[in-house]
Amino acid sequence: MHPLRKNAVASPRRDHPPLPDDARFDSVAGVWRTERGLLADDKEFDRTSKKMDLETGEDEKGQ
Amino acid sequence: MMPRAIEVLIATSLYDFPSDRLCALLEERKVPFARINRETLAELPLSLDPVAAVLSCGAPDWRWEAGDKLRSIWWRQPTFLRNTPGAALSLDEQLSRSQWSGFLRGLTAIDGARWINPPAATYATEAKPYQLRLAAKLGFNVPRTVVCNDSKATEGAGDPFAMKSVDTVLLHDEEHQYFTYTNVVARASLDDAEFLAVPAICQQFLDPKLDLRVTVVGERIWCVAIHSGQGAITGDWRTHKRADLTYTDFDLAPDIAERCVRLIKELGLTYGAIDLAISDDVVHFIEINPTGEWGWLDGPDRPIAKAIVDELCR
Repeated sequence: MHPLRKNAVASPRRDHPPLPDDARFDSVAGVWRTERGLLADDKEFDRTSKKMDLETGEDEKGQ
Repeated sequence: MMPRAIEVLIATSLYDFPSDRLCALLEERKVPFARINRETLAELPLSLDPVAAVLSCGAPDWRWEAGDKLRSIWWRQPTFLRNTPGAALSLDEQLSRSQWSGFLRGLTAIDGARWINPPAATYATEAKPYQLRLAAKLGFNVPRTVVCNDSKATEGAGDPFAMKSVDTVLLHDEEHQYFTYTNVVARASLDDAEFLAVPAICQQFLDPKLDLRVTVVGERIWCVAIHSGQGAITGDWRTHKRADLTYTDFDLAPDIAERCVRLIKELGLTYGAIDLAISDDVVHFIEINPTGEWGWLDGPDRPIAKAIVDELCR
């Protein structure tokens, strides 16, 4: 097996990141909101970035 | 009712959370904008007039027009199709993917707006050999690099060497996804026949090293050094748990900082995330990502979102 495949890190497949139950996307304002406010500012959820512990190429490269 | 003339178009993904911050800042500045997400394009009645270069949204409760008043486009879309999906796509899914991708590419007809970044510039920059060549021409120290599927040719990178993918490796099967980081590889471990199957970037292994992430927005620049709790990081810092990593502001030498800004300009970009590494007191250029993530560094000390919005509103 090629090293690029042998050394690949496996993780459960997911189509989108997990979100709080009360998260709603406001399409006019262009932001995710929860009862606590903007999801992007929610330290508890800590999804201000997609740079999670697991790199998944989420910086809009893959499709 | 006349459609709202927007001044900024945010074209991204539904799950691009840092772009929420841009939208919130645009709202705060009362700049008319619209955000479109590729996952939900089919929910919007969109029309593009390619000759007039106008994109319109005819949703009854959200009518807007991106035309003469449009200043800029924040572009966070794939510039080309990369990996094949892990499961077969239905005919409708194949049709949707190919045609929406083409529609988004067609937005390049809107040539009066400032694109951050222009899709063609992003496309070119995604080729690592191209960016390494340009970086070297600008005076950066580039680690010895060979892009090859010939195991003998890896001698040029030293032993052991850092093996990287030529393009992002994100593979899927029914249950899992697979991502490949940079790995340190000993030449003796290579199987010639297996290595022949796929090209890879083989690069001088820098160890010990200090990783730097440089974020450039126009003329503005921020640099952080990345440390782990255990001290120096061997190999790819992204394999470390986030809680074990710290990011501290780092003063780049003025000539290196100037070179980073020049690189962005030469590549035709406004935004870019550059990885550098210091080893043996030499600053090495590792790579530039024209779509690199920035939300994890944004904050009061590094107001990246504000800088991006400044550029979008120029």
